[in-house]
Amino acid sequence: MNRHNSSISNSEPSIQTRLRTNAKAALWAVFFLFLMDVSVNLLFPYPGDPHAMPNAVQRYFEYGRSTEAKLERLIGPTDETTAPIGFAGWLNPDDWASQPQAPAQPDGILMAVYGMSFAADVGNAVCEMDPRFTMRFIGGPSAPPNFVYAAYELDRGKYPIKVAVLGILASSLRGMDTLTGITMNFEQPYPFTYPIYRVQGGALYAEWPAIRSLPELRSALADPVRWNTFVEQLATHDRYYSPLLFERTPLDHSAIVRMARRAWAQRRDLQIVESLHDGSGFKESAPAVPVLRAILRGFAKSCTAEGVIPFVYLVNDRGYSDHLYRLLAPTLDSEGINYVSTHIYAPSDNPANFIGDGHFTEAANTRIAEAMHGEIFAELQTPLAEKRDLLRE
Amino acid sequence: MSFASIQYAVFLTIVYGLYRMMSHRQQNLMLLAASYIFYGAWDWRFLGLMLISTVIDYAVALRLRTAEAPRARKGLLLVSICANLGLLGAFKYFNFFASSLADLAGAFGITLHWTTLSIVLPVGISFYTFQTLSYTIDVYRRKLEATDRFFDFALFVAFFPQLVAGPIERASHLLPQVLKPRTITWDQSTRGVYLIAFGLFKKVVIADGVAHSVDTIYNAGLNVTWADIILATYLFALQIYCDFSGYSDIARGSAKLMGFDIMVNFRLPYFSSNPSEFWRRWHISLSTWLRDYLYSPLGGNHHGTAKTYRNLMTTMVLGGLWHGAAWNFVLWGVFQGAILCIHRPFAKGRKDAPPRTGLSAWVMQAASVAFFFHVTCYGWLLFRARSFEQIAVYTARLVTDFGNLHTSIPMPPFATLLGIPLLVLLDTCEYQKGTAQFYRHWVAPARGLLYAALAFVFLMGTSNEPSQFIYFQF
Repeated sequence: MNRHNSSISNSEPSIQTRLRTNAKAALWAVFFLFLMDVSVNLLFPYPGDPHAMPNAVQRYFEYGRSTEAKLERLIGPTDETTAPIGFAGWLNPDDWASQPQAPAQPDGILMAVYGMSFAADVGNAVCEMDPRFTMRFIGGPSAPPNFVYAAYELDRGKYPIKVAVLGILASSLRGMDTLTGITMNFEQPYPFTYPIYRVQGGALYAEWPAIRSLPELRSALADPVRWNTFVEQLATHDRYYSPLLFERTPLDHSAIVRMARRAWAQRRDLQIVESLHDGSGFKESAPAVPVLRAILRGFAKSCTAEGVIPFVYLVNDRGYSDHLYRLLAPTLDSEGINYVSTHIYAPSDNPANFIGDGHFTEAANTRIAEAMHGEIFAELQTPLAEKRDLLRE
Repeated sequence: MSFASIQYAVFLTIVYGLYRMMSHRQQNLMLLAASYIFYGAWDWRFLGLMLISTVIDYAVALRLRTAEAPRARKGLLLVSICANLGLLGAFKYFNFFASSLADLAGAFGITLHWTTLSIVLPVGISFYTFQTLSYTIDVYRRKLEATDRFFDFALFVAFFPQLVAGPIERASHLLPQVLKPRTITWDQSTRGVYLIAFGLFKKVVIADGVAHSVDTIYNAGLNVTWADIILATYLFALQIYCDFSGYSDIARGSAKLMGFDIMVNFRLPYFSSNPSEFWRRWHISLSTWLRDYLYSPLGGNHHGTAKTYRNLMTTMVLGGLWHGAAWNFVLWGVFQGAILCIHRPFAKGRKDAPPRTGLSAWVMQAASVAFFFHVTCYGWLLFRARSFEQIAVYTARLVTDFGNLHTSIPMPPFATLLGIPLLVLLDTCEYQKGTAQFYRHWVAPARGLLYAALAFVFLMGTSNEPSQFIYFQF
């Protein structure tokens, strides 16, 4: 074996000096890294008050904190010590009492919208356009379709709803194997929970989370046994659950560790998204696809049975072109469900359709709302018998 | 296997560990196996093409060693050129030329039913084809002795650090390093580590960080404003520089760890004040390859002004086409050829003028650099555009929509916003000191601060969405 040719050359002058210089520089680098870590925590501390709005830099360095540590900040023992996001999206019908239960006008139309901010925006635009419409909105931030369907299921049959709208957000399809916005959104967790649906023998089955309301979450956070039960359920059923990201550790105090954890979370998220969607569209082979189609069939069936007009709002947000439309249009057509897809009225490849946070501009929402209003209104004008005939055809 | 991945870090660590324990012969065989594994990780079927190229050029060069008759030598060279360019043409350009011809015939009312090949472009084929061609041409020109050591030659063709996106090494530079035992010096090792770190910083923090902003505007079709086009094109200039030079840095750094010296591919190209200087600083391995194997054989600048311009245009158009089988790359080549031709008489005039000194020289230099940077950026617009229509509309909008500051371009991530000034600072230091190793003369705390800053911003950038190296598609 010729060791000479692969060894560090001894012929260089003052190699020990070089070693020493480099070692010194490396030690200084470690020192400065430590200093930067400490400085980030001192200069950009995350506000202790859950109602205070952190600035962009504070948020940036907080993204990689473990989920448990973030939850501890978000959810206090009382409403006053809980961040506003802690109240959003719970699938608890008692929380929905403030939503309209009848149309505002005597001959008006109560339109129930289940979804997320995109759906709320367009629902509001429809109501502004036509005062006969009153919106009953139940939603959660970036809610996946399983949340949306569960909200519809819990809410249906109780009020004189004429139109039920399900908002399906392309970028949230990745959440169909999650039980909560805590795991699905690592950087900014949303504490609400929802079921995972499975198709067995052609029927939909729901796996409900062990925690279903804010008070239950509070009590679980204070009760290690209950909390562990929930975490075990996540570990078993929730595709996004990862102990490395979820469990609190003392290293949460290090900005460097938080950045590394955030990077790892993003790589993991990307892998999950890529298993469902590539640049050209959603993958038919993804397990979420048959579940989503079953959800739409279930929605159509129950609406028709109750005399409610089913309507689906397909939100092809940034990066999804017309992919959601191409995935679901055949099912929607075959089930006779009316729908509007944003790719026609606000194409996602046109940045002028979006505001900075990724939502549609007011003008885009108005265009979508006009289309939705037209579709719904035409459906309202169609006599029920004619609709049945059309469906039979 | 991308350089900016955990898989590559593990791969390089294993290869380096094995390398340090082996003799020279064993090292070469192990590196060859590693290179094939590295390349096969994309698609093992592509290995066949590289092997065909390797075997043909090895055999042709051996025959050239003994062939004396000029006709025979030319014939052998032709075999190598046809085989290599034939493979490149079939896999990279067939569909482009077939569809272009059909479009042209269609314009004259003739319908041609060409069959397009449903094939994937083999990664790095343009790079290793040029590299291996340089070997047979140099042997033909008697500038290089043909080697009879097949596995060593195969390693020269497939050496993994520079296999996929260059630098395009010359046989006269790399092959002797393969054939002879290598010595790893302390300086090489530390420089190698720094190059890898700096390359990753450029790729992960900056190139990947701005990719989304650039893509949003260039994929937006025609619904963009003047400010969108300007910002996206500036960012693309940064992206392509950091992406490609970052790759080259990692390649050079990886090779240095094993005692290889790979040629410098970038020397601060955006500090160029004219097109001629730009091509001495940008993708140096390609520009020198084109100069030595295309421009000079065409006659270079030795046969009068008209032929010089013809040769410049031919070289740059083919250089543009080398980048990709699309008309916008051809247009980019035409643009580069045109600015070289336009600049040529000015350069001659400047040679005869007395040199400026002092502040006026500095101001002139800064103004020239700034002006030429914008010329380069317009070239990048041609390069990045997805269609001629987009080029026409964007070019028109630069004039008709001038000053419209309304933008819809997404803001790059925080890490990238911090990384860009750090890069500008480091490149400026390099430009002023005239060496890429300027930091080596700094005192230990200053070097420590530099390393820490790079590491910290790199860690921030690791959450940028990763994207494929741009030059992999070429």
